[in-house]
Amino acid sequence: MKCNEVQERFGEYNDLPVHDLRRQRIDEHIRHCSDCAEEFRIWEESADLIKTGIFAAGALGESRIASNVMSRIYMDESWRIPVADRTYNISSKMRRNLTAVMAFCLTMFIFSFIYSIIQPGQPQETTQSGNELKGMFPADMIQDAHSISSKSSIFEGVPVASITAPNVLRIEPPSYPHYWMALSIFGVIFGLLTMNWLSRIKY
Amino acid sequence: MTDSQLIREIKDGNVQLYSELMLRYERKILSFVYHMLKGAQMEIHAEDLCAETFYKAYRSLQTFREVEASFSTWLYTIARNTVLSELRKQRSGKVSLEESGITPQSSFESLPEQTILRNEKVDLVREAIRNLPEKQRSALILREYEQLDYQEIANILGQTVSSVKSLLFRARASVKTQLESYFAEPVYEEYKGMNHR
Ligand SMILES: [Zn+2]
Repeated sequence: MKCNEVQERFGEYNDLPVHDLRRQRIDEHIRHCSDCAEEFRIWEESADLIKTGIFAAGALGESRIASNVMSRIYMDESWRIPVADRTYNISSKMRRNLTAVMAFCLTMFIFSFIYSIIQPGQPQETTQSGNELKGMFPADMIQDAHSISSKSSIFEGVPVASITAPNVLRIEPPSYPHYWMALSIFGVIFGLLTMNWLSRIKY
Repeated sequence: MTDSQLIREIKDGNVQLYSELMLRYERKILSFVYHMLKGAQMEIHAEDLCAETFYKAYRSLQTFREVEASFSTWLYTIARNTVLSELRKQRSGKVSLEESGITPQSSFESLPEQTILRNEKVDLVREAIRNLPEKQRSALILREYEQLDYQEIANILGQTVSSVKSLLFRARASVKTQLESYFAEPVYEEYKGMNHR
């Protein structure tokens, strides 16, 4: 091998496997040729130097590249945001308002429910309306009920009406507390649905 | 999960897995982008360009075919194109020598001698690599810093394996020539002496 031939191979020397024939020839030549040995030394030094220029990506510390890219992707394709992440993107003001509405509805429900239970004078009402319903029941049955309630003072007030009460209540129009109860349940459901809907579309 | 499994899942709409795929290649791509940039002023953009690479890769992920290229080769190709277009953009506002990171440091006295020599050496090597024509620079960085084999480098650069070998040879020869003046300097002999002590 001539000197210039050998020197042309110095550039690939480090890429050659240890037992490669070309590598062995270079080794053999520089053992005997001092000029090429000097040239080879410079090649090796420069190869080492190139390695010193290595940049350690770890030097930048905790990198936010991945999270930045993800938020850019989600900005383009907001429907891809996981629901768990999106829930937190409803503005706190909106969430507070919705919670207030739902709390109000729940309070309304509780009050109207309690009121509908302890509402005074309901039994009397039912007996009264029972009078209006003559003709819808066999006459003797109503007569019976009336004769019992008018004849004996023991039954005054309570259980007498219970015979006809279930039938009567079914026809009676709902009172105000019932309207409030229905309205408040509707309010709570509406609030929950709105929150759920917002969590899907808001970003 | 392998890369191809991850990619299939992402293509099927499981987008949050892309974050995992990015974490696997983040360091490699960041290091490549960093070395490809010319001048210290531009190195601060390395993270942005790395993010841009991943974003572009996501945008064209549907067109990526596993059989044709490995994901890392594909990423390096996108990263290289991203850096080149950035360099083209920056060409109008030329980076001056003062900005390139080899400014004479005024605080030399306050630093230990070995640190100064080391920093100087790193700057010189970087400058020598920056001065290479783009293809030689890419080939050298991919080979020396990213440890890719000839075939992978050929795929990224769109060259044959033999032209990659020739690119590498010319790049190394050029770096060697640029550093030769440094080898001749007495300060280098001193540095070597300190290292061998
Ligand atoms: Zn020789």
